[in-house]
Amino acid sequence: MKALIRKDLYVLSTQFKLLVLVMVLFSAIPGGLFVPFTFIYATMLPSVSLMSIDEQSKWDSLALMLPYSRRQLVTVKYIMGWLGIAAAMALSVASQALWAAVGVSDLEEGFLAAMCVFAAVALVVQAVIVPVNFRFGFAKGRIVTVAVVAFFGAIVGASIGDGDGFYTILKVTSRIPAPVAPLLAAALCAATIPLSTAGYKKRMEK
Amino acid sequence: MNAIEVQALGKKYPGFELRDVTFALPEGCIMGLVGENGAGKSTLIRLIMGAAGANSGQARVLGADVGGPDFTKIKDEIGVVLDEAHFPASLNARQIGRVMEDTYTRWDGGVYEAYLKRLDLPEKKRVQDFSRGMRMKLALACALSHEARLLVLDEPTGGLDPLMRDEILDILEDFTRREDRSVLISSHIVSDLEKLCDYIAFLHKGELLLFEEKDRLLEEYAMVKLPEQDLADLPPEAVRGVRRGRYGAEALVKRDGVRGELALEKPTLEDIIVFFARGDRE
Amino acid sequence: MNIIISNADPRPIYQQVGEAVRGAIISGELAPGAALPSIRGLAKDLRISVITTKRAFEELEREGYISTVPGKGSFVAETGAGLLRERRLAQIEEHLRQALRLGGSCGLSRTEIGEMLKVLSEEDV
Repeated sequence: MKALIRKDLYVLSTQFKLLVLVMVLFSAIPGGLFVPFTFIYATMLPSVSLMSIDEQSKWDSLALMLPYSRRQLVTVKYIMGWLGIAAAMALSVASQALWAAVGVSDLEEGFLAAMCVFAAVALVVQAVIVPVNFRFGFAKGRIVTVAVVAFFGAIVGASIGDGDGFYTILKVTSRIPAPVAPLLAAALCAATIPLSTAGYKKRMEK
Repeated sequence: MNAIEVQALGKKYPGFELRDVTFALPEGCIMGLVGENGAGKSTLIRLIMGAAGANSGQARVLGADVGGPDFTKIKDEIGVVLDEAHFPASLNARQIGRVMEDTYTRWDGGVYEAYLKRLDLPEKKRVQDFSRGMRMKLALACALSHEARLLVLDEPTGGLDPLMRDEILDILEDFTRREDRSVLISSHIVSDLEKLCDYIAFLHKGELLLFEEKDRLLEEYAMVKLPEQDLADLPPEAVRGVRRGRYGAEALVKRDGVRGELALEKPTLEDIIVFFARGDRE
Repeated sequence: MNIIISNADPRPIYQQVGEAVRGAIISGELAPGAALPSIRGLAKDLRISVITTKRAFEELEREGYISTVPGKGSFVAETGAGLLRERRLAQIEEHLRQALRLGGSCGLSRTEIGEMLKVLSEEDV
């Protein structure tokens, strides 16, 4: 498993420098308005980015003959997604806290709770798009990926465009006990690993 | 012990079927798998490596059932080189070495670096800037650097110049100097396999037409050239394939099945393969 | 020891290997008791099949020219060279006897045949 994580980290660092940079930038824009986009990127990491590269190089055909199990090959993409979401969260909290400390912007009440909700939504999105991509491959799976991510983006976009909308979301979400939503979502996401493994097996039989 | 044991293996795809493949490769031997493009070589290799499940029959590799739960561990002792499947191209040889170090329990970084040097591969250049031949060499370096007991190579010499092909064959000869090491190598270039292999397998349209010890095969069969009307005099059970030309005919025959006065010539492996495929057509 | 494997040679490869080893034994290049190269090493160096090399060695052993000690390798049998020489002498005798028979059938005298042999051997050198 360590090997697979290392490989995906190398791919990220060599192939997706820009994506990572954008993620960092969005998380750091004062006021936190663009933080949701950080989470969108974090969700797209495991499927759209890494899986498409694997498919291009036909890595899967090779990997199935190396000492990895199908389950491991699937799980690593989940782990990369979780790492992405964790990084998005850490980056956002750190940068927004920094801005608040130097007085550039205020840290809204309920900001942390909102982070948790974003993370939860990102995990749910991952739970939908990753199995689809494993079953149908990136070429077909990306249609679903784009649709789901666009839907997620549209809600966030609308809430920001609305001006006060974003803060309305914060007010609503601050009532949910912080860690509950993301933990539930993470459990749901992990529960789709067997589904992805089965789908992956089916696709690679062809 | 047999390195690879395949029993009545079959796999169905839309428009293609691999039928009833049976053979056993003894440990310490090199097996050449020949066949035209689309004959099912890669499919057979995928089944043998457990990358796809068979519809019928079974395969055992290094003593383990490829469908079994232990096979992932067994793959630790197998080196694989595939024709067109590679590491993500943005990685360089050093990074790939690090990934392999975490992949194989008996990875030897020193051996890997020595192979990179011997094969003239730069460590820090991205694989995407490699030529096809260089990628193949890199895959070979990976396959050879973890004390594998079995090498499985799918068309490793494709796209390489003759000099490079020869070097790769040299490396494979060296690899099998130890008697517990075996090789399965596929190629559509018969001459690459002619020298190297102990056993030869010929896959044609999804069927294994031939699995035989190579030198016995070359001894057992002979080519005869004769006027077309004399073909009928050959005992039909001795004839394996015929080619009719404008000025005469050629036939591949079993040496001990024909009478002594015929001028028998030594066949090449290519002759045998071609005539087996022809015999199938007629 | 030189071992030349040739595709032009009509004999199977295992016979070519066997003949080369026999030649080295009778010429004394491989002394009695001398170690032969390992089967696997020889096969790899000659780039021929291991199975074929094994077959050549098995035949040599059956004929009594070499002996194999499991785990240690193959060695030229003490009696190998003598045995081979004897067999060769017998072969030469047989060929000469046949030459005499053929000569007789054509009405050649023994002296004429002897003369022929002399001419031939001078030609050869």
